[in-house]
Amino acid sequence: MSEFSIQESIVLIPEEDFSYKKAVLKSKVEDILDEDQVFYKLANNILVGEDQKGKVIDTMKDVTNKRSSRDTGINGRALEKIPTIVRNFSDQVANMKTQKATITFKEIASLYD
Amino acid sequence: MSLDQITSSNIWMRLVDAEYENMDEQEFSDRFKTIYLEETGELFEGEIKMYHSSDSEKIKGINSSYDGTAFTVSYSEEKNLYLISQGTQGGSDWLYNVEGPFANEKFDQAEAARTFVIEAKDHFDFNPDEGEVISFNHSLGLHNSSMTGLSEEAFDEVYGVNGLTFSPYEIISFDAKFYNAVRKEFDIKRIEEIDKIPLADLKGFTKDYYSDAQVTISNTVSEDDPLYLISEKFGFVPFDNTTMVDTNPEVSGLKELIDNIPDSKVNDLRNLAAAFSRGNQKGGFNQGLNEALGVNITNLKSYNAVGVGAWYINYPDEVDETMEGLQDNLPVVLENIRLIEENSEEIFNSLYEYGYISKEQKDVMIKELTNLEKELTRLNDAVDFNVDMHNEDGWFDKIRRGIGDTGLAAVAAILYYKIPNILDRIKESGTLESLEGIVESHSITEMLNALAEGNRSYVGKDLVFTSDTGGGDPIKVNMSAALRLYTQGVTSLEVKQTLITELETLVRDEIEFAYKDQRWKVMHEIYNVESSPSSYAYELGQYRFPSYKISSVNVLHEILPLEQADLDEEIADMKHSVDTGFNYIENYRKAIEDLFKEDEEVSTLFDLSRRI
Repeated sequence: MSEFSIQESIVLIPEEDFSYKKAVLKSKVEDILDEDQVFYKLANNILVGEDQKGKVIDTMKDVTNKRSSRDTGINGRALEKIPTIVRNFSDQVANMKTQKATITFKEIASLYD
Repeated sequence: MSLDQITSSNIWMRLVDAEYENMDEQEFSDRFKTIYLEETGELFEGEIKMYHSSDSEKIKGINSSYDGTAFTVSYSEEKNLYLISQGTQGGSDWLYNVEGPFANEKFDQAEAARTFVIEAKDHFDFNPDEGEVISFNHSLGLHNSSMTGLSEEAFDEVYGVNGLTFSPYEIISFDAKFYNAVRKEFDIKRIEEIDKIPLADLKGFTKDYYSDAQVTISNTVSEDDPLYLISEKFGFVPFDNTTMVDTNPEVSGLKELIDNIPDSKVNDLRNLAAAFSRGNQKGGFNQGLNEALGVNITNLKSYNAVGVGAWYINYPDEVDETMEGLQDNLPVVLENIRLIEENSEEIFNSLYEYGYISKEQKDVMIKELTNLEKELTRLNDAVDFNVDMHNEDGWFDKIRRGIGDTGLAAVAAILYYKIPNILDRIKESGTLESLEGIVESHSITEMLNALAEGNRSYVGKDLVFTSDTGGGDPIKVNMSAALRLYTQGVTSLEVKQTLITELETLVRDEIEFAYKDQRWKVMHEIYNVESSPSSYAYELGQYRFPSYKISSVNVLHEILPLEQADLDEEIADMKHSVDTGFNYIENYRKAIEDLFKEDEEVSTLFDLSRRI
């Protein structure tokens, strides 16, 4: 027989390290977090003293606290999720770079037949 | 709208207070307009230009630590030049207070103030015939500006808050014309002979001499301002337009206390006050006390936390610093402590009577200062008797190695046990915190609060409105902060919006597009391998079959869409937060307007604030 085929996984492109993407994305979320702090600092200075009470005051404090805590939560979730999404990306790219292939070999002598 | 409003006390005092922030021209212009709006309820639509003393080469050349801001304000046909001179800020300013106003040895800040007003007129090409030149000052700033104003007639008006005036001896050295007038009046030939003129006579002549000056100088002073009261004691010349204000009605009598200081002690107290002042500026009242006593009380924190033995073993640097401080300062410390101790009954009784400290604090201070004086005397005697402090194997080493004689053991016991315990008891009494109020009376905020009318007051540099409409306790709202939220809050949300868009783009570029790019690379490589397999013979393992060559490759490619690699949910939540943020700001405005239903000015302030 002058030819045969094998099926095996071949690495088409070498693996790359994409971990730097975590820092790039995290840095932007941290900028958002800093801006939130700027915003809530503006809001938190409005009521003079911590112990003021009253319907309007309580509502203002409550709304501000809820907003602030929700924003902190969103940013925290994003920061926590970034390593996972970068890892998922890296894994899926790595999988894509290795593919199954059918390789057919032909006997050298038969090439001259 | 008129430029006259600018010289109303609440506007100019707030401007002076704000100037300490060293703003650039845009920030200063915005702050000016904000203060103007908050204080008048009107939008200032004129033009403001600014020039800072640090931009002047001539001022840099004087190297005096003078700090000032000149600005022109133009509206309609009016244009004035204003100069703000800062009060005492850093250690170099406090040193200047001593060397200049009190010791009359330096005049370089007054020289700088004189140069700066000339520079400012040139810089703005300002013609004094077409507008007024007005000076606003706090503390030391008034001292510099008034000397310049009187000797050079550089200003039309000079305003000061808790402004330091000047001593007759000082202005004699600064104003040559005045010196000549003094020589003539008192028949003296040389400047050294000035000391022979009775202070009261010289002070009276100084007041008379400058009473014809064209400049109007107004000084608004707290009855409790320690700097002003001390300067009075030192014979400084008061201005005719001096308004005394009781800024802290809860206490009184600081003037009486200072007036009771014997004249013979004035110089000693001046040195002590100077040391305190330098420290106070560096790190607050406690640091002031450190400087005055020559020991670093904060070093004793570690001692307090871990006890004597462990302090000695674990913090040898602190121990050495404390001991070295005493080695250098012990004689001065002792002298200062004796001065306070000798007068402690009178000082602390008065501070108690005038409401600055409690009876318990008074008793602790009198008792512990007596103890401190006693222990420091013993320490001084022990050091003098036992130790050659300049010997290489001096007492630090002896103590460390535990080979000192009994005298040295006494030194250690006093240092590590008795003095810290005394200082502990003083600290625990809370006297130092109680005395912070005295320094507060030199501040612009306390003055603004004393002058405030109606429902207005001030916190720091901000304007506060008080509402009684809630039915319960009055509600205090920081209007400056509310307006900042209303204006800068929107800007902040817009910045956040931009950042979210940038994050979205980043995720797309770094993840989504990057994945597509990788997929394209893979597909491209598949094409290469399939179309030219022989070029990849080695990579495909042809060497495993020596008699064979690769004839074809068929990649069974399986490329799935990218999954679970996005921040879609978080980005959507962030966007939602920004969208509702604008409503939040509007709701905050409505809530504040509800609190001040009777006060239409509040709505106007919100409306106009966004036009600055």
